[in-house]
Amino acid sequence: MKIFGPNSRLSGTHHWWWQRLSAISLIPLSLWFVFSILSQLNSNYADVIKWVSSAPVTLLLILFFCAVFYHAKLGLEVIAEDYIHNPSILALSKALIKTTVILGALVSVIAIIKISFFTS
Amino acid sequence: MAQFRLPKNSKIAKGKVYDHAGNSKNRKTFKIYRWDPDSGENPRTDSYVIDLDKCGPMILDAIVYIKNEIDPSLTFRRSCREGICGSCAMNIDGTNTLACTKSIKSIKKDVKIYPLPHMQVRKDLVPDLNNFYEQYSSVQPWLQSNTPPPKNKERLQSKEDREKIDGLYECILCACCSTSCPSYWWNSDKYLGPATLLQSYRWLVDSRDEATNERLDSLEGSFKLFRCHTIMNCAKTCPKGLNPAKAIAEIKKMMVARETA
Amino acid sequence: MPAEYQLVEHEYDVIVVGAGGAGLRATFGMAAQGLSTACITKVFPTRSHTVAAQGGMSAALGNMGEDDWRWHMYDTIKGSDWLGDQDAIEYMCKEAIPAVIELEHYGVPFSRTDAGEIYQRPFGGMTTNYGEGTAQRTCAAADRTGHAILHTLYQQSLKHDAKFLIEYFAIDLVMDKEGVCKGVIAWNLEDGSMHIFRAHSVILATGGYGRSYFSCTSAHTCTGDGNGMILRAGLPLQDMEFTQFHPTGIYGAGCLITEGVRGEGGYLTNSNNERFMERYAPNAKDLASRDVVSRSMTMEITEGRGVGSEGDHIFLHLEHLGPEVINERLPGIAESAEIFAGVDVTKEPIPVLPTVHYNMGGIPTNLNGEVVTLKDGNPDAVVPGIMSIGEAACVSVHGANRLGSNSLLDLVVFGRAAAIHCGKEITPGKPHSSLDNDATDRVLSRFDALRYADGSESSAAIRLEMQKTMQKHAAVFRTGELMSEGIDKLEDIWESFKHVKVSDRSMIWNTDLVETLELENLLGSAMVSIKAAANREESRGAHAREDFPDRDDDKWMKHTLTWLDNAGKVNFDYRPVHMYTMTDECEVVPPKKRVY
Repeated sequence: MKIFGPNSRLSGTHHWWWQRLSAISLIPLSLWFVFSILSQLNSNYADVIKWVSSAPVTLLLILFFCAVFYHAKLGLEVIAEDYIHNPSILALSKALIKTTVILGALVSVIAIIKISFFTS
Repeated sequence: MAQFRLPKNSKIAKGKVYDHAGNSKNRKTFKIYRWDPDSGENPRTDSYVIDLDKCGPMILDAIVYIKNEIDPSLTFRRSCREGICGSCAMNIDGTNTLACTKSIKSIKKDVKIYPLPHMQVRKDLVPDLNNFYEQYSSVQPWLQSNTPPPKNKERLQSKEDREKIDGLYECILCACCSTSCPSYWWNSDKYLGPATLLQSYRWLVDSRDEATNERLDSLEGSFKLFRCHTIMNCAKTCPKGLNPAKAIAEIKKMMVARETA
Repeated sequence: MPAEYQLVEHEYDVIVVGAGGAGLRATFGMAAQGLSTACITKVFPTRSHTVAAQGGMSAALGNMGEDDWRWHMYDTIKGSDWLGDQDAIEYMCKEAIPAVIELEHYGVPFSRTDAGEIYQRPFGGMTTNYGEGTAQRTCAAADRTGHAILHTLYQQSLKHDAKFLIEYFAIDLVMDKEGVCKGVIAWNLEDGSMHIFRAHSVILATGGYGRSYFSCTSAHTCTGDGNGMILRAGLPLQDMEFTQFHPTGIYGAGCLITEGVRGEGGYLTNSNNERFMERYAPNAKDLASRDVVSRSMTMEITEGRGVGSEGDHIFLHLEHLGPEVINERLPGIAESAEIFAGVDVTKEPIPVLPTVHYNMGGIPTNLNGEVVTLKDGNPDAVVPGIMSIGEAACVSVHGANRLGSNSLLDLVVFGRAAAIHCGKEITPGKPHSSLDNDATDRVLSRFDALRYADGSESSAAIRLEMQKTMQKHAAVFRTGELMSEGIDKLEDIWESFKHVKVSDRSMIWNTDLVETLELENLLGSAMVSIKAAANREESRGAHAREDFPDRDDDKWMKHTLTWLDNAGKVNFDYRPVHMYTMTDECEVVPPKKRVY
């Protein structure tokens, strides 16, 4: 698959389509996430670690955070394109958005893996 | 960056008041945007109070009356006066519509009339539509087909296929929809806008046209088509009751179907 | 030359003035042949009044039953009350078939039959077998055929990359001392600049002058600008007494309700609920030609059988057609009736009145669109450098009365003919001869005088007087007395124009001045129209005189030519009607009594 970028012939359609796919995937993922967090409110530290460490939860959490940051990237790019008319500032903003979401996603995923596999 | 302050000399001043209604009980006030490019002054809104018994039922009748009887310098476009030529598109009572088909009675308070929003103004109610027209021609709005048509005979088209372009070909290019679209306000240089996309779709679904792929290719990228954020102002404002938003959604579906096929 | 105006010079092979159906067809026809062409237009092309044509375009395709272009030719000649030139009518009716097919190939969204062919509906005066049956000959795109065709023609112009100068107002032709047209001067409203367009041929496609009347179906922009330019150039107009009243303009608003409504089965009634057309035209009934129906309606009203509180209009019924037929074939009518008459056509009749609709007369031309005049006894003397097409022109294919759906046809056929002719006659890039300043000075001085006109009457006031005078004194029924009163009034109005006041002195988008220039064009057309009407002492087609109720072929089977001088005086002369055909594929239709 071609990477999205300003020169991609497919940029518009893929961007739009993946924004919708990520949004749709976020509906069940967010609901699951919110309910799970709420149900963990009264749990102690060890229970939460145990909960995160279960394989399906680890997987779902990784999926959720990837989807969140990916969707955020797509959405923020749209907003940047809407409002920023100077091409250099736009390119800079997009780079910033990309860096931020990649960092965010990395930090989240590493944290989950760390909790899941290296914490007890 | 986004512009947060108004450009220089664009603040609208209070203009003159012309009371031309005499003792009539059937009075109505029209507050009309005025700007004269030669004066170097800021725009203003002039108020005209007129006797509705002396003019026809439509907004266009009122502004023609004002031009004829009160202020010959009032400038606007008009032609067919029956809603088919698309000349007299303006912002009336906060909505983009045709002055000739909008009745005065439908507005309870004072009637406020402005040019189509977010366009360069040439004079009074006359906006510069050059960019709008260029965008229209950029989608190559003519029939393209490699199959030569039959000699001495029309191409055949079934009633069902013909029906697909109903609600599309009727567009009168008045620009009400495009100039009501916030996304078009922000990016009218790059986003084609609802009117042009409606026309693009008119050819995409015409069973006689064979340039579907080329047409879709030309709409690719993040701006031309995908700047539509389904705000739906276009469908709400269209004075001909057409639905450009739906046409745009259909094009997006075609784009995705082609990519995921 | 008033020093203020810097003329920007342009050189083209051909200049087309006007971007309606005829102008656009000519423009891209030229462009496609490699002639450098520009089209000057005072409104964006798709705003031209062709867009308002509803019912359709006639062509004997025979998609909905047997048809023959000779029958179409016969109907057109009969419709014209034998004032149409039969060679031109032959050409138009024969070319109609390839013309409409060409339009379909260009992409016009015609309505379709079950077989997928172009849908055709019956129209007034269109018959089969030389008057026997009803023909279904009018090719339609619902009831928006003009819109569909005009947009398609503009799209073709874009395809051929034709040059348009939009919102330029053409002021006058530039004529040299020998009477040769050298170009045209136009005013760019957007930035206020003045331009001279040199061309080997200037094609006037400026439309009609319906706005010389108070109530008309015509757009505000139908102001006979080409006619005005021709008159000021010292050239004649032809058959200007023939003004068509469309039977069904919406009462009050004047907006058009297509004849296609009656073609689809609609009918007219009076206050007795009687379908009165059965009395006036036992065969064709509501589908008699427009002059006949308009006169019948006017008779009903004057004899006290009009409808409404004032008894001054007629009802048009289509509620019996049912919502399905209305939605499929007459959706635009339903919309117009709702907006302008507050009527739901599926439940109630539409209040209608005969309304000024079309000018049969105009700039005399030959089959190629070249402007002709009577010179040294030659009735077909070509005026070098000027052509004319469309409603502005008088070829004459419509004679004394145009049949519905022959107008869109006229535009396309003669727009194409003009392009073909220029392609043959003009070598691309041929250099332009020099031009002396006198020719342009005259034009600019007139412009300048009007721009600074500081008299006592607004152009709107003068225009209203003219419109009311024409409405009252040159209406459906005419008498010598009524018209001579009208002429006296119009001469006073002509005088009052010398005291016109223009309030806006600017150059950018000065519509006050535009309307004043248009008014002068209208006034010229109105003057020759009413005087030609008083001059023609017979009844023929749309020209119905109570004091001369019969057609007089011995004296009046001829085209009127009218020249207008600065004082408003009109000179008359005549051209013969072409009672011959172009080829031997058909026969001349000899005059006979005209009954429907």
